[in-house]
Amino acid sequence: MSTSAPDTAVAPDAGTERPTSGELLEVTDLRTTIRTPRGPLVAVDGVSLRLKRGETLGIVGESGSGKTVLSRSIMGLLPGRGTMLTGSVRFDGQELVGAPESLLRSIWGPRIAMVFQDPMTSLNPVHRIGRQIAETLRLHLKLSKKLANQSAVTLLAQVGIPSPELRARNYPVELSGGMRQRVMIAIALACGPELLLADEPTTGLDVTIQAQILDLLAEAQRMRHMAMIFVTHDLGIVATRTDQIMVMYAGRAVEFAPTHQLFANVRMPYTEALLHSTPRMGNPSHTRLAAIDGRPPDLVSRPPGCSFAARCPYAQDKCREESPMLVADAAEPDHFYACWYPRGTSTPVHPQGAPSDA
Amino acid sequence: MLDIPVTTVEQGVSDAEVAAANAQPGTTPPKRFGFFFWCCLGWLALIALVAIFAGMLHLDPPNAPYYTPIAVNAPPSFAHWLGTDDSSRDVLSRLVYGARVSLVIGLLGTAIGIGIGGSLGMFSAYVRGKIDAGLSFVMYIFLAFPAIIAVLCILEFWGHTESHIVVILGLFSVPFIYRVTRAATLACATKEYVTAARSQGATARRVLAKDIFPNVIPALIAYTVFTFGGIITTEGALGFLGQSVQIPISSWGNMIGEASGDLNATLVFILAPASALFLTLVALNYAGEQIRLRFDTSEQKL
Repeated sequence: MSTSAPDTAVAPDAGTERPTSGELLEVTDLRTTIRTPRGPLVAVDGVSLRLKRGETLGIVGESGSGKTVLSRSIMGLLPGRGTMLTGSVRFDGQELVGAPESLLRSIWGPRIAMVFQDPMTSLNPVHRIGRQIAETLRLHLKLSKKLANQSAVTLLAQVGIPSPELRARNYPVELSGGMRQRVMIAIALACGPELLLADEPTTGLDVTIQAQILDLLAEAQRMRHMAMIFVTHDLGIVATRTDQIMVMYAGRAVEFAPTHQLFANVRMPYTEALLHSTPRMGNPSHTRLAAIDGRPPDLVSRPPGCSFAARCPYAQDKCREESPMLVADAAEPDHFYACWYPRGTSTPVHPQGAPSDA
Repeated sequence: MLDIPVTTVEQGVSDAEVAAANAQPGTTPPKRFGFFFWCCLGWLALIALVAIFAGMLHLDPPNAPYYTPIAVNAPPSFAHWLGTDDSSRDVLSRLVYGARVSLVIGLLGTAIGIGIGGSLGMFSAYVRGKIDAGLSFVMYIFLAFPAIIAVLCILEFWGHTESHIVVILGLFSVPFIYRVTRAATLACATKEYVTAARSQGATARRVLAKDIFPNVIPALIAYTVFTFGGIITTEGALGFLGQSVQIPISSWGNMIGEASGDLNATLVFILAPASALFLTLVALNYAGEQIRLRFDTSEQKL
């Protein structure tokens, strides 16, 4: 169904025809090092990925696995001091790592945008929400104040906020969490980005609102041919809404596959453990939820071998000594994993020192 | 093809959300300022108006002795509402012109303090790192200095003119305002909405001006008023010691100082400037506090 919103919808990129397919993002060996009092902390350790226009990549991992740092590193949105970024992020052919701040600023907003985790703190409490949306439009699209305000109302209507003219005059404290996240999405979509980074956009919301927000994102993505990176700790959320999934552990990609292949043939024990720790409706009452024992390793002084070895039920001596590389599955060339003894295969499929080209 | 399609997602918003949104505007009744607040504001307005329009009040000249009839230490009368002092000058007139000195020094000194301290504090907290550490170090040295002694020494060398007093008192209020602004900015700069603004391509200047500054204002307002009061007090102390503007120009401080030499004369000569100073400071502090509470967004949160 569609509503008759005012005819002031702005085409942010009117005139500049954008391609709707093809490679958009290419991340190669991205490494984020954060300086801490105890020494350098490698929060993202050599991650590579590719994303086509209009596709969705899910990044899954538990707290502290580096998924949020990864999404911010891709954008280049890191606190300048004390963090070092190496490797390469090519966005539409343009290198972002080491790019001057002015170039990044021209990309942030109109080309890459981000939806943040906590809608309670990511809106400025002192400005009306309409103005917060209009700000971005005026900054990048150089719209007049009046036109920007009208477009802000249109955007609010598009993200499903009722009586948008009234709501635009509200302050963030006057809105519920779900409404605020809709506003955040409206801000992110304002300039028609080609890539949307959604950093746990539903974590702070009620389950009933979660599905609505996810549908809204999917709808916006489909209408705008937008690529999306969806960061979450919830495998259930990404299962039906992504094209590819990257499972992260301790700052590294441990499994990376097209979504259906990942769920059909889980290779990495960590992914398997994540799946088992998801509650299921079919379980009888009072079923104990499987938790993954232990904690992720200390990223300042990383132990040798596989990062997951200490918590892995299948770990062998080799796992504790040598770090497995990300390699392609023998049967499915799109399916990568980093494990010496992958699940669902009887023998180790890769010899030592296999190429790590992901 | 890439125009923004106007669609609402199906089952866009639950009833609960609509209800929550509709209920909101009425739920928080606007806080009202009390009677005492308006009294304070009235007093400040009176002082300000009197100081501004002192020339139109048909007062006797404040600095020249009143020539006829010669009255030294005369008690209050219809001709001289607060009497005449030991040099037979009209005390009311000196009080009014003294308000001018106190308010001008207070206002300009505060402006200097807020301007320099506020911008340095915000800048320092936003950029962090070495610049922040260096600036904070300098400010702590200033704070460790007994300000009144330093001010006395500098004025002794530099001369006791109004502009010198303004500059020096203004500069000595910088570290306090720097500290408050820096703390408020630090608390705000780590908030997600600052990152969100950056993620929309806002420059550092824009983030500081549009996202951080409005959130620092409440803390700054309170401190502006306190600094204003503080500078007026310090000026009073200087005046009492005879180190502020020089007699025959009057300020509240030097009027108290002069009158305190001879308490056997009329008590009103010391009571008048002292109560003017006292009431002004009470009014400033109370009004400042009320304004701060009114604009405190954190308190409105729940």
